[in-house]
Amino acid sequence: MSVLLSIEKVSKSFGGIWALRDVTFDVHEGDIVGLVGPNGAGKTTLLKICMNLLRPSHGFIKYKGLKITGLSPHKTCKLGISMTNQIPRPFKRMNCFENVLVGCLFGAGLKRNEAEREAETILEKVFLSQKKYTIAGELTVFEQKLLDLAIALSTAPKFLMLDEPLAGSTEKEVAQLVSIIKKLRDEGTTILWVEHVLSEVIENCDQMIVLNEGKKILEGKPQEIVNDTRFIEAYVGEENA
Amino acid sequence: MRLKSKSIMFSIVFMFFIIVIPWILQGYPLLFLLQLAINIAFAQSWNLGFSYAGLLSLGHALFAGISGYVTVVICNMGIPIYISILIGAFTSMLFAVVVSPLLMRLRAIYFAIGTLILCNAFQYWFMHWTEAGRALGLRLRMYPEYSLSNCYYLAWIVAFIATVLPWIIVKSKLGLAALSVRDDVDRSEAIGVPTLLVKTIIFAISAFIAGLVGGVRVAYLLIIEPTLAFSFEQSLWATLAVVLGGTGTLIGPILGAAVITSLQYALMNIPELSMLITGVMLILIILFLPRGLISIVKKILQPLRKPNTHARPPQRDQGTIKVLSNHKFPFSDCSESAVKDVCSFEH
Repeated sequence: MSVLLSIEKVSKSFGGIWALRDVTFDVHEGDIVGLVGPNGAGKTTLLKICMNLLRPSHGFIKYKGLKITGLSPHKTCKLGISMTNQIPRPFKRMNCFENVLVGCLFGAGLKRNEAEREAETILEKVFLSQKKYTIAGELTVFEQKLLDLAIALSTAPKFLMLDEPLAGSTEKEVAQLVSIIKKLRDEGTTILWVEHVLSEVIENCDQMIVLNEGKKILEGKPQEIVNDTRFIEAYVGEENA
Repeated sequence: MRLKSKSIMFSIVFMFFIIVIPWILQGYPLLFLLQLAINIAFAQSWNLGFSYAGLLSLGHALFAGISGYVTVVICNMGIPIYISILIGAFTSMLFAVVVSPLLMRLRAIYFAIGTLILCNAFQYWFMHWTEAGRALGLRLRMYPEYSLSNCYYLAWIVAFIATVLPWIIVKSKLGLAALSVRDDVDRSEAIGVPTLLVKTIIFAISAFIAGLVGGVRVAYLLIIEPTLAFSFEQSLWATLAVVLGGTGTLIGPILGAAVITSLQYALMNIPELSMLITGVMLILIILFLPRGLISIVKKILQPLRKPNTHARPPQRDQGTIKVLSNHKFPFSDCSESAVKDVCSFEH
């Protein structure tokens, strides 16, 4: 499989504190790549840099062989890159259908009729068809999470970044989300998956990357990584390793 | 559908009255209705920016002021008043586009401060600009079409445009994008909306309407001077009218403008108490009707509507509790220490 996105020596400092330091890795087309690491490891910062919502202090991102760092987020989105948010961020005063329609019209660049049909398909995909005309702010937290995912999907992404989609969900909800993610992979979407619920990532991803204190400490197949002492140290602390 | 056809009927009857009134009423009541139309248009202009793109402008008088000055200068060159007003409004629109790259970098309250300062800067500049007549301002020549009823019609045409334009925009692709920008700028940028462009277009249209208002006002007052043209009170009246009537609706600003105009006229004879009474009334209305007067109208109209078939979704609080109780702490130590912290806090 060819390389879809490569992160080249990306560093980011916030007022002298390094959130990321020389992080380099590739994401291959069609893969699910798991990005794990303890809190504050710089995972979300890395996603924001890929989306061009943040500018890296050093380094750059290449997408399909072209450097995309420095583009505006809306142009990045049109290339086929999209992300969800750790805390769901739907458009709170619009209904679910409108929430998804915006991305279909602008991100995916569809015509009005096509966009409306596509928006319905996407709502169905995330099990929100029943809530089509409900105002997003009135949804439950889990429904907002689904809607946040639907908004990310509305831009017809080829490369999708998920920021802790499973955090704070019940087992049933986790199963629902994982089934959506698997379906997306089967449709050919490449996924970069940031997650704390390790069991699900280990089970479902093709490649895993471990970040700790802004540095990439491990990269490889999930089975190899979980047995590595460095991984256990980063997660549980040295004395317990 | 019945309600829709009813509201169309209502609008037609309303417009008929507006057209007929100058044949019945003269003088003072007509002046009141003229002022009402101007206030409606200005409130709609502010509402477009605030409710549909989240642009809280506190210097909205700026666009009316600029257009007013341009209208006077153009009209005094011998050009018909209607064309002068249009040129004035387009100048305001152009000015909004020019300052947008600068202003749109400011978010929320900083945008409000930015617009406020810009407006004050203009006031100061025009106060000291000899060619613009300094504090005395400029006089408009007595143009041939000048009459109270003509100004009245002009004002209502502008009020009509100011109401219909946002209505068209809201239904369009641009309107949808603007709503998403209002709710979350970064998110809408990340899903492909060119937010800077969207905000600039909405701001420019809003400035255009405000420009029309400024032109019409000078057409009937025949004078423009900096204290009035760029006054903060004026921007504030528009803000209050919209908040009072109900933000994010098209009828709200009309209701709000009606209340504000009535207040302005009713309290004209007691200037020393007028601001005080206005303030107290506004506080009371905002306290007891936080969604504006439109909420009363909706309550009255409720029985006319079809019963709401959409079941209300569960309350947000339940969701929070559910998530909290199901939240898995990544490490068991962590949750224990958190519990200990809470316990020790209670001692």
